[in-house]
Amino acid sequence: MSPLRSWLLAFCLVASWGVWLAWLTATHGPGYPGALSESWQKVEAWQVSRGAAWGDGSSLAIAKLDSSGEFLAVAQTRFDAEQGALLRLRAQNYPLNYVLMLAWKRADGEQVYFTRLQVPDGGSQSYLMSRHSDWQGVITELVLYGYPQPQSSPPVVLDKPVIFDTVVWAGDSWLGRLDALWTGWTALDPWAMLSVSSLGRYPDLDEGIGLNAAVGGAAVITLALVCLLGGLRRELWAGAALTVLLGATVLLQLQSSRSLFAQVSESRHRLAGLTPEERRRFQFDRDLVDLAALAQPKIQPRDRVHVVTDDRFFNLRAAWHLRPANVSTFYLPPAEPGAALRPGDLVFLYRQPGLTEPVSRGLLTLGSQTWRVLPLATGSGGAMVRLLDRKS
Amino acid sequence: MMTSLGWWALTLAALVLPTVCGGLLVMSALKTSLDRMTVLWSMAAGHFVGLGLTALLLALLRAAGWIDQMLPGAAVLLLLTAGVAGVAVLRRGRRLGFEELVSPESFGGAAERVLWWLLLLWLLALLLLAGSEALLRPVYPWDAWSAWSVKARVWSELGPDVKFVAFQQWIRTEDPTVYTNEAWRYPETLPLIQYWMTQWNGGWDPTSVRVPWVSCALALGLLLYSTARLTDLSPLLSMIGTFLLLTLPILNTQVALAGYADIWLSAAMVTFVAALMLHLAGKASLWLSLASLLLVGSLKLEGVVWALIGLAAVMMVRLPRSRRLLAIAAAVAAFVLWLVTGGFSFSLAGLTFKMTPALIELPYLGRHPLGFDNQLQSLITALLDLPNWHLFWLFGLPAALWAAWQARNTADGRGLSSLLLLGLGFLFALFFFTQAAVWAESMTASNRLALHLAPAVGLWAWVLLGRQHS
Repeated sequence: MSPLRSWLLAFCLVASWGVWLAWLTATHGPGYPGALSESWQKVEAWQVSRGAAWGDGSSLAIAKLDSSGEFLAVAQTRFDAEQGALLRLRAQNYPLNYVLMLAWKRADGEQVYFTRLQVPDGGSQSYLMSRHSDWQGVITELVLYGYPQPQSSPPVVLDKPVIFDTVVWAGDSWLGRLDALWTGWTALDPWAMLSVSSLGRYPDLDEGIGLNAAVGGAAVITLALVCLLGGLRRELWAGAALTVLLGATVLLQLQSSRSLFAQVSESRHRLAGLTPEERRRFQFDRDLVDLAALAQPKIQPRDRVHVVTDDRFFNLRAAWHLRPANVSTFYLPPAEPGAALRPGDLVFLYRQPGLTEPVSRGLLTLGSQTWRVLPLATGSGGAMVRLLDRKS
Repeated sequence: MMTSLGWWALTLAALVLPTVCGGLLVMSALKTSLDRMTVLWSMAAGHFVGLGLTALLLALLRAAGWIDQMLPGAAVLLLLTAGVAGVAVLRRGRRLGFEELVSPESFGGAAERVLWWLLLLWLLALLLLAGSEALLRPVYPWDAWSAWSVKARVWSELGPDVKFVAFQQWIRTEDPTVYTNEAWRYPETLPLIQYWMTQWNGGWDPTSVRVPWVSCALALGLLLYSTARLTDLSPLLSMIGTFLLLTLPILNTQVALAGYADIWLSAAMVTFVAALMLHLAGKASLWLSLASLLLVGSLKLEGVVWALIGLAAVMMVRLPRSRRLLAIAAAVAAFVLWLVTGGFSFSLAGLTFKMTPALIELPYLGRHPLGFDNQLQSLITALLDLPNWHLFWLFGLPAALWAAWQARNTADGRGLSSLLLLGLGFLFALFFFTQAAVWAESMTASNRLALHLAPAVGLWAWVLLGRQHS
């Protein structure tokens, strides 16, 4: 390729990448005409209703989580959504496997709207709130809500306080949008329940076009320009395709490796040095693990165990924790025990307070059947009993 | 136990024995002289062949009633097999001559060498990261603790003769040693491999059951690289291809969150394709490809479909033109006939076989009502936008189609074409016409099922394109 063509190609590439980025920025969400003349900050107004916190007027620090490992901070406010289209947030020490939600109320009613935010990684992160169709009218109440990812290994006690030192709403701007795009693309992607099947955003975490599609679009533009300006020579085309594909993959892999590295660091911090049993206890369903540990020694080799829980997920989890016992892994709704139960069978109750409470009196009612039972293990969240005989 | 040297020694021994046995078996099926790359290829493919053979031996010993002798019995049989295969390799090795086994790769220049090493180091770091995560976590992903590891855990603690049955059967039986599980009918290859791992450490061990996922990724990487090298690609092109396929985020997640069967099925499909490519290059026996298909079919329920697709690819590669055309015409005619006549339904030995345009019900594969459900948007999001695949489907799929078209008059081209056509057709039918559409919408299965096919066709296309342009 002649030097002139090479320069032309370089110029066109830079220009077209710029146009592509501008298009992504412009279409990232609807624009609002209004803009606050200066940043609007309400950090000092936050009140923490779950967990424990302190604030010094310029930051909000979550020092302790509640018994469910959650925190919730509320701020009363009043501002026009259009004038606060961009949220900039920075939090230090935010646990990697925690979901962060932002909820809000509007002046036109009591309904609560919410959106998931990217996990703060210590740096400043921006969100284009105008992407949400419910972010309109007058905002009267804001809620920051953090809770453990389902099936993650959350800390019950925070190592260090989570400090929100920036929670700012600003007017719509190109730079702000660009920042929102960039921080969305470079946000960490910690493990979640779906990770083994699909990585990345959840349906409720809508930050627009992902990094993959953005880089893919830029790669296609590059190849098209090389083809257009360099001609359809096979050697050039093949070399360009290889270079673009490898370059784009390296770029994407940098982000992917960064996320994996953060996740592994977190896992090492939490789990290294623990025995397999301690690691099992470290999981999100610790109370179920503990209850199963109480129940397991009471199970005889020829016993059959029926698990009664409030959903299929915990039914399967309970069965896993009770293995190698002979456990039914099929969801057994209390209303339909059917003919499945026999005297001598064990029933493991979890998250069934209405059923667990009469157990102390030696009775268990499942659907239309009432059984005399012998309690074998009782713990927080449930109990295990042996069925003696059915009351007529 | 985790950090003790003894634990590592036993865990590695549990992997090395099947790998060496499988490796020697694979070597004995090669038709070329042995050099470092064929040895590397054999050991990588042998890892999968050997572990599959181990599971088969364990199942046979259990069926023969040798419950207490399963571990030593399988180990002795593996050693014997390795011995016989080793003698065969040595005899052929003398005839063909061993080439140098350890010699560095040769590069065109310093830049190539630097890039090759950078990519290799990155891959090793990635494997280290994913592997350490796999070994740190408790059994984590849903299907691992609800399906795949359940049998291994129960067998490890109570003995491998514990039988799992459907809930309806379990609830009626008086036999307290009969167990139930939602995944009671899943193939037992992986649970048996996990059982094998735990027995070397004396019983249930939630860490050692996940080690094979790390070795699977390592062997897959070696297999991709050595296949590309043995099919005449340069060291750098081979390394770039390996990097592109081994850095697929969804694949690495399957290693880090060890416990699902998909990466195994993916690796088995790569083994099949690699063996077929070497067969077409005159370097391996066709039996190796067919044996790989047995492994493919034994890992997951849908593995049977992938094995049949692989078999069709073998037919397209091996049959002469007239018979190929006849086979294609017969398949198309059978499909049209099936549509026009409304399908068929019959029972045999208590098993129901029903295939109509409204319902497919087959033993082993289950019951699947059919009906169109457009999941294009979900698939585009999963395959192109979310960070599961880097740019595989944006560039890799068109490149594979292009490679297949360019090589349409060769056996390689026919093989790749049939694998692409039937594989994508299967995924399309599954996600657009069956209840699996729900899995595509929720993204719980679309990426995992696509993973079964992607590295295999990616490898084949990369080699064909690399050959054309090198």
